[in-house]
Amino acid sequence: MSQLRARLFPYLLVGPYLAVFAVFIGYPIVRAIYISFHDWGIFGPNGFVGLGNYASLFADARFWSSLLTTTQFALIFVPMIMVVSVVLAVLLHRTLPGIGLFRTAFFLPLVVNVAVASIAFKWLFEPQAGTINQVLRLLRLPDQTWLAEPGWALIAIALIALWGSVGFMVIILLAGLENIPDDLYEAAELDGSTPIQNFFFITLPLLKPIMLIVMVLSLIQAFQVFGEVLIMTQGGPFGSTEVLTMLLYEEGFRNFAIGRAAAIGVIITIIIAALSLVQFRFFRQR
Amino acid sequence: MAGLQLSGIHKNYGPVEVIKGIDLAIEPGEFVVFVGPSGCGKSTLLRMIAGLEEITGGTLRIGERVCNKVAARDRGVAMVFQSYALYPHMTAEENVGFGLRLAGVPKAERARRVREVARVLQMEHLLERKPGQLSGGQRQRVAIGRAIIRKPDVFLFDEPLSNLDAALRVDMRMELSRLHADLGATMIYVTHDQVEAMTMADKIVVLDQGRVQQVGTPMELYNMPANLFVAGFIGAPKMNLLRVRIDAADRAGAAISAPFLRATEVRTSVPSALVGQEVTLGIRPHTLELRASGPISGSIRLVERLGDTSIIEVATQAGQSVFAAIDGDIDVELNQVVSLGFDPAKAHLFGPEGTRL
Repeated sequence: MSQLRARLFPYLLVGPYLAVFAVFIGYPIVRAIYISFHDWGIFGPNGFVGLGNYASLFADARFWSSLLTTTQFALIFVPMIMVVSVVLAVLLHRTLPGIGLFRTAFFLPLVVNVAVASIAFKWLFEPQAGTINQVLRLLRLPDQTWLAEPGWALIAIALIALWGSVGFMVIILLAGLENIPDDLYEAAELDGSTPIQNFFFITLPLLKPIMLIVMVLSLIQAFQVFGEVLIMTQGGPFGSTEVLTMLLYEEGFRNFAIGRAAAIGVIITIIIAALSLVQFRFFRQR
Repeated sequence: MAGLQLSGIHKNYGPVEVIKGIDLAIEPGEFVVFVGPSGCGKSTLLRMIAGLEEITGGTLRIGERVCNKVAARDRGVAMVFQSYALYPHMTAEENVGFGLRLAGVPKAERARRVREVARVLQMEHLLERKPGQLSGGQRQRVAIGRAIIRKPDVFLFDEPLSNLDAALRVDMRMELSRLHADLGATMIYVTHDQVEAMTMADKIVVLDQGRVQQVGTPMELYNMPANLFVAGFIGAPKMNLLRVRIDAADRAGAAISAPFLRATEVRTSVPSALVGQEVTLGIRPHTLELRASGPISGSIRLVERLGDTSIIEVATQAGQSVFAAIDGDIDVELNQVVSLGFDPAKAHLFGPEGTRL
């Protein structure tokens, strides 16, 4: 009896989490998959359609266009956040007076709600009264219509997403940097290494496992970007920022094609899972 | 190969002074060991020589060059760390050749020199492995290989054997001594283990609380310790340090006594001012021997048999413990009453300030 109790005890400990997971994550995922196989309107299911929702999406140019936009966004956002977060982490890893203040400053945006941040940045990017163009004018540079220009809008959104999450990536990377022993740098110094060479020969290779985590997390974030797009551009100008999640929102909450929206959600999940798996496999092997 | 000259070297961390003015000359090709207890400043001093710690005051010369402000990479020194500090993502070959790679040595030349070093250190079969796949002793070899490939003027070793097991430590000790003989390079070696210091050094520098206590050859330190600290630190088992009273003194020697010690004479010149005062008598356990009627008597409280010798602890009636190293063949047992004697010429006296008389 006591043996049985001992065996059940661990389950008791993880029980509360499993319950929350099942209700708020597990069930919605299963439900979404279920819905994606149905023609599902605002008042409920209109019938089982099998892979019909997926087939109609794959035949829809708007779906492919938003998949391309999401990919473009990921290609802008992931390298940008990788480079910026690694550089910031290395700079913040030094022991300088007041460095804690800087670390806090970079972490702060994380606690700002994405809607608040997006509204604030919308003002900053505003063509006439926006601070960014005012600064450009002071520098005698031409005004930019950031959010109205198809090329710039996606970059502007990437910048906001970067501002919001770079602090978190930096924290992860700082933990990785803490794990690199100081004596490796001392040995390298005696071997004749300069600080730049230290970065490329010691820091980067030893930080690679943590950078992989950052890369996977930022890729997931890139495929899930939504709040910034909804508030700042609503997918415009000319659909140039209509990412997959935006399309999902349009289908689900404007067109009330819940079945199609669920299918888009499932596709996003599959893409993220597949990309994460490929990255882990690829880097583990190396 | 270069000598070193340390003049008035100081090191402060804020208000805390850890190195308190060190003057030391190291000849080219010498094997010098810095020895002392934890926190005595020996590693800090080594790191200052390496260029890994700033020098707060004084002058450091390597060869003829003042090196206080010279970057570590430009000092012509190589160091083996206590943790080995091997680059975990590189193979042994890449670890050893890293310095040459940074120096822009062509790949073929680099490979040739790495092989040469690997042959000297008998680690050719390990070159393809990464540090995680090597044992402690093998990592040690790679770390030494990384140091010697650059043909530095001075080798620095920071407690390199402390992570190895006892048997391997003895092997590596001999190997390092052999390496020193082969390379003829100047080597500075830091350890807290006085056996390592005694067995390897041409010259030992005993440090305590940021100050040099004594500099000398191993036998000088063993036979003529400058003060109580060196007397207690050098030699295993430790020297017996016993409080005694000077009854009479002249140039030829002194008469001493203590509650545990029958009046006896030692051949140490003692200033007459010390007559009637307490001083410290130092007797190495190996100079004490069992006698029919010696000046120290008591019962055996502990016997440690090492084979060729046995260490015995003799408790006198006055409550003083004295350790003696006697021939391992002599049969002694616990609680046996024995008498110990010593050669008066091999006894040391230390004055009230702890310095040798």
